[in-house]
Amino acid sequence: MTPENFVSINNLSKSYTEGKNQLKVLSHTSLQIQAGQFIALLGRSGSGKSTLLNLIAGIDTPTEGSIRIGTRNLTELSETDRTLFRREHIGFIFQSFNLIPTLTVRENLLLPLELNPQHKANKQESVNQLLTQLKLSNRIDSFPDRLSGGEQQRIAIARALIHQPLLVLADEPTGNLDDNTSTIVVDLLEKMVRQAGHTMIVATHSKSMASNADRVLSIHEGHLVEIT
Amino acid sequence: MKPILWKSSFRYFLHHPWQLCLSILGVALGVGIVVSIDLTNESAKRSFALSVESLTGRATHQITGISGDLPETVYTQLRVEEGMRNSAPLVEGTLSLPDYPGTSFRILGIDPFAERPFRGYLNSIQSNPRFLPNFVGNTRGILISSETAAFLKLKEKEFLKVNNGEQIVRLQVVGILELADSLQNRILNNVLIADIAAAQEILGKAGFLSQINLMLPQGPARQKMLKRIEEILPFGAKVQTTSDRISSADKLTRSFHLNLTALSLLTLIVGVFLIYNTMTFSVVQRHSILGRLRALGMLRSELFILLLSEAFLVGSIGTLLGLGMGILLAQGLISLITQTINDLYYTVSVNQIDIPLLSVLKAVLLGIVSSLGAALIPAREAACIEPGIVIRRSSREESYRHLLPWLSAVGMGLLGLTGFLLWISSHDLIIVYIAVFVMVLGFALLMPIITVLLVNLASPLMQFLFKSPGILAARGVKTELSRTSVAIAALMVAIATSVGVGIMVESFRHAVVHWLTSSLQADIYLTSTVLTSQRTPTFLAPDFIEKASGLPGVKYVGTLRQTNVRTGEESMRLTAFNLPLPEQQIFRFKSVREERIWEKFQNEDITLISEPLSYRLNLDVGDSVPIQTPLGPRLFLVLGIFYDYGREKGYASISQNNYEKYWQDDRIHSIALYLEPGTPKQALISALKKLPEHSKDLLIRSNEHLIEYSIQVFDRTFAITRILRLLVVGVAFIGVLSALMALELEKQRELGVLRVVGLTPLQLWGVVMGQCGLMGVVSGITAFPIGYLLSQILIHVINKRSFGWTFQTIIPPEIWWQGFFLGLIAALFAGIYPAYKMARIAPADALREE
Repeated sequence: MTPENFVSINNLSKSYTEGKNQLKVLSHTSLQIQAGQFIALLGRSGSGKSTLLNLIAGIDTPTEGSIRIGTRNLTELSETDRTLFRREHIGFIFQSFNLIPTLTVRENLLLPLELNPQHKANKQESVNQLLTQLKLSNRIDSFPDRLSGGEQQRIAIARALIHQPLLVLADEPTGNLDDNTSTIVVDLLEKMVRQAGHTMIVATHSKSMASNADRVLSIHEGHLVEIT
Repeated sequence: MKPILWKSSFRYFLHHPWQLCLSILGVALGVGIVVSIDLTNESAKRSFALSVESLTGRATHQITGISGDLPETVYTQLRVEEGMRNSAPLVEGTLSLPDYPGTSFRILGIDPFAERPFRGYLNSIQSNPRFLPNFVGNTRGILISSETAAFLKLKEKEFLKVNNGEQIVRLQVVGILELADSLQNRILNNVLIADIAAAQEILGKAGFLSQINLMLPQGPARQKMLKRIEEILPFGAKVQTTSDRISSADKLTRSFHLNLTALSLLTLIVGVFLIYNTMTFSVVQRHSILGRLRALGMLRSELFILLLSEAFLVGSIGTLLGLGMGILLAQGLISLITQTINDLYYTVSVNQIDIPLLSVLKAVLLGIVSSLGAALIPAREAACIEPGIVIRRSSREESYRHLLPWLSAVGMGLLGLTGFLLWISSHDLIIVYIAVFVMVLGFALLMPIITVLLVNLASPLMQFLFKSPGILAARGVKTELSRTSVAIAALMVAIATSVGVGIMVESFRHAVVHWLTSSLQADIYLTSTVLTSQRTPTFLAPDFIEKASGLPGVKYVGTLRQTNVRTGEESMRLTAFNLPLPEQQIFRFKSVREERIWEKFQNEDITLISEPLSYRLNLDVGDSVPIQTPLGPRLFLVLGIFYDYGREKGYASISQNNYEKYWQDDRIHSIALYLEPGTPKQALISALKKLPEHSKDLLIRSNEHLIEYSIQVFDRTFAITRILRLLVVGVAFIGVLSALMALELEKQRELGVLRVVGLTPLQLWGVVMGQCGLMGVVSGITAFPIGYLLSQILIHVINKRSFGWTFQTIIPPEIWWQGFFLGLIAALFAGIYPAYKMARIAPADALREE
């Protein structure tokens, strides 16, 4: 693993086919991110922020170019290996929370640990600690549909962090929340990520969130542009 | 598999219990029907094997007379002159019990001394000092098992009244056999054991035996003894192994059992559609959840296994329930099946359902494999879900529509394969049934494209009749094609089966009625006893025939003699008749060579054969049939093949003249009286009964009575088919209900939007019912041609190859609308609850995200 360039994106392109047309979302773009950095990704709707996050998470595959995380080149991995890499090293936070509705809060948090057999730590204790930190211990046995939006997103953050990933990806994590709740969630996310020393890329429209980032990037016409 | 994932699946089904229940019910019904048919078939076969065992005991071989009776001198010769000590005579017959209407018992006449090595339980006769003196030589003494005694509520020394066809006889229980072995108890169920002389007297078989049991040593000695036995056997008698005897009965009913099994498997196919639908729905419904799991790092293979495990669980629970249902259903069906076997094949009495381990294993395998098979495609689909991306239903339907040409091509391919299988099937019924299943699957795969075409045609009418709700209903069927087409296919298969079997049964019935009315032209029929395959008819007294012919009003008399003969290695039924010339027209020939057939029939070695015999022995007009006669083999020329639905193994007919000439025997089994016009039948029947030579076992029946009786037997035979048809439609009904409930849940949000924009609950109800009605109509319309094709395979391939019968297709007018309305009503009924639920939905609830 090279701390200087923990995430290395080179000459990345992604196109979609819509009928007879080719829609180019990302075009020959490159980016280097150092370990522990907090990156904010700005851009208007449909600019390709989510696509870039999906590609970095290995959920989607690029049309061209490479993505290297640590020592692993994601674009050379098979679908199964990408999944195994993701389950171990990446935490993903979605705009619409995406908690599993058929599992309780406790079980949602346990899920990444259960999927990772190499996690030997006391799983229940990890869950309890995290929930205490999030001040949600009283909701431990609730199902997601009984929680408010803010609570659901806090649980989603906890789920993304519980297995100590190397990289946290958040796709508009405050998009479905009101201003006050957004502030609470953003503060919490930043605090927890910084404390743990995770690398984080956040796609957001929120200027206030971007203002706390180490670097702010924007996607414009398929290219990454460094703003600060 | 992680327990947490199981928990997630379990809670999902807990939130949709009806979906789980309907799915389990679908598997359970499918498995239950297959199990019930399997168990009843097996129980009937087992009971027959037990009844053979009650006759044969530990015998390795039996000697039987070809017409049922064997002179007892054969036994004396074997035992005394040839020194075959391990041999035992047996006389067997059926008696009815006047005090237990509808119950018949078998009487076994044995020689307790010779019989002992053959049956262990007979040791108790000799070891019990009370039994032997009362039993041997007692012409009214019987032994019964303790279970039979309990059933008849009889104690030792008490009397039992039996009817031997001629008179009521009182038999005395001289001993009750206490059998510890439950199998032996079952063997002796409904059996009365008498001394051989007593049985001969009671059955009127003095001087004759039913069979001789032999226990032959292994190896070359056996071959030597068999050779010697064959040398001394009289004409027509044969020696065969015990297993051959059981397997020949098995062959006799094989087609009957196979037909029932095939029909039950069709129900399972409909059940498989149901599982497929449920599993697809559970995948689509959980698309977002499954996507999230993939985003969290769950592998495709893990997701695939999770879904298959769910199907395994549904299949297992359904199979277990199905086993229970099958056993219960078998209790109800057994009487129908044994009645048919008794009517058509041999006497069998089934008192309990056997549950062989093999049947249970077959059911388990069938239920679970079908469930897993049905879940394969949805599970694969689940495994291909992109992580984190919630695929919209519209895009899924879009990809399904792209699949349509391929599905249709595979469907057409399967229809081609059906033709090929039928072409190569020759005499193999199993291949024909595989062809039927392939055809059904082929049409099921064509259903999506057919649905689109028919709904396109119906849309303008729906719009005209029901305005916006009409067009919404029609579009609903088309836009949710991946779901609706499966339900339509399931319903179509069920209705097509019902239509196909219905056409076959009606055509067959029509042919039988036509055949009966044209062949039973005489006014009154007299026969010595009921001519079933088990009972040996006795002969009519010549004096009686003469006096009956001379009664006023009798125009002329036809005679009939029946026997079994050998042709090559095969055995066949031979009838010799003498019919007055005008009545010879009763023969409806399928194929005939000569115009002056009847003249030749009387004077030359000519035979007319029935269609099943022609099929079984591959005989055609112009062929010669070698028939063994007491005067040696004679070649009879086949001059005609006639339609006959009376005996599935078929028979050959020769003239009475020829029979008397070659068999040196002029005795007659039955006569037919043709009356002068205007002669009252009942008066003549009374006159016949008053003749001094008339005996009580003589059956006198008018042609109307015979026709009515035969049609009753026919209807009893197909009663089980009607029940199975209803059950198939029942399973399909659950299929449609399940699909509609699934749609209701999936479309909740869309329906909520419709309610928000102003659709009233009643209009919403109309949309759902319209959609159901359209699905039912599409099923009903397509089921008819497919059912018709199915009926053609049943009539022209399966019936012909099973029984050798051919008949014209008759489509009763009601079949047209029955199939159509069956589909429509089943679909509308299935829609009532979902429509009610959808109409009651609160728009705010429907619009909620999670």
